[in-house]
Amino acid sequence: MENYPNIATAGSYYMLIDEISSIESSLAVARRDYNEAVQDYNASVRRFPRVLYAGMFGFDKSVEYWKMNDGADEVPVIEFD
Amino acid sequence: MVQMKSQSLNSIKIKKILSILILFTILIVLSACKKDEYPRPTNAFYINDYANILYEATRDSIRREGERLYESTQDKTDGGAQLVIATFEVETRDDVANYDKTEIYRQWRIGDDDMGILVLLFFQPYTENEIEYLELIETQIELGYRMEQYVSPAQLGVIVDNTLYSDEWYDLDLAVMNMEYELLSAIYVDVYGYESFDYDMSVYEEYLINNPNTSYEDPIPMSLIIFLLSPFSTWGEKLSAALPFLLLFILGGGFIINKGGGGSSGGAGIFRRRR
Repeated sequence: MENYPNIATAGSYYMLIDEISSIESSLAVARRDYNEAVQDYNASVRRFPRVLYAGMFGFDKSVEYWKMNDGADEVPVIEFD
Repeated sequence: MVQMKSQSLNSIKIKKILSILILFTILIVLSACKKDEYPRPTNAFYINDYANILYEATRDSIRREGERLYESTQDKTDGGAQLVIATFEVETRDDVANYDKTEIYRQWRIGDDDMGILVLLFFQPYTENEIEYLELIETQIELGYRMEQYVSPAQLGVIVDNTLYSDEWYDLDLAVMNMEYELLSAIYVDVYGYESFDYDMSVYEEYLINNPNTSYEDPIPMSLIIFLLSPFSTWGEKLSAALPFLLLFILGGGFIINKGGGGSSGGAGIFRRRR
């Protein structure tokens, strides 16, 4: 096994990739859920009669959607030294 | 004359109320009939073989193991775990993108308190010697919110690579069953603290070879249905033949209908294409 380090590290590499892709997937779902909740809130708060008491009780008239910062969509470089 | 007028006014009012009630009923029915994006789970719930690729014996075994897991863990901390497998046939690899594992998990509401695992197996047809086969092209696994705390995506990846994509198995049913047992082992041991989960694939292999299309819980035998529909049997004979099954149905709790425990998930899990 010592003569073939690739065999020993291949398993760890795939395990790491699985963890990273799972985190990416969880983040994507969380962003989507958040934005859907914002969409529901913004639509709901404009409807009558909610529009009346939303203003009275200080609810936000609209909430901003979650947007990625510039460069956040770039794939990070992972180095295996 | 006045009485007749008031009577006709009353009938108009009743008609109006009735038409409003009918309109409301139609609206309620239409809103209830809102189409789900994905197919509903089968009554077996723990196995949904939409690609129709598994033997009945495998489907039956997965269902029974799923029921056993759910029932035996319900009284434990974070109990009521459900392990669900679904197979889908897709025309091309790109069609897999039409399936969202998180949405399917949420629609099927797997596991009590989000203690569930959903396995999706995608198959693509290919033709060889004019015979059409199905090939496993992608596997996706989704973990319930709470199950994420116990089972890691890396662990799932190792299980899938060592079972489903292992060269050890010459038959898909054996590979799927091996994966089912390994996932059950991870749940029983890592989540609920069992010492071990023992299984023997050679026993299952022998069982599959001898009984590929056996289901232990075939609710009504085909011979009974034929007998009941036959014009050559009297009503008395039909009743006496059907009575034991009717009693079994009533006392045994009816046909199999399993349901999701109400769980949800947030995208954690794995995607694995055949390498």
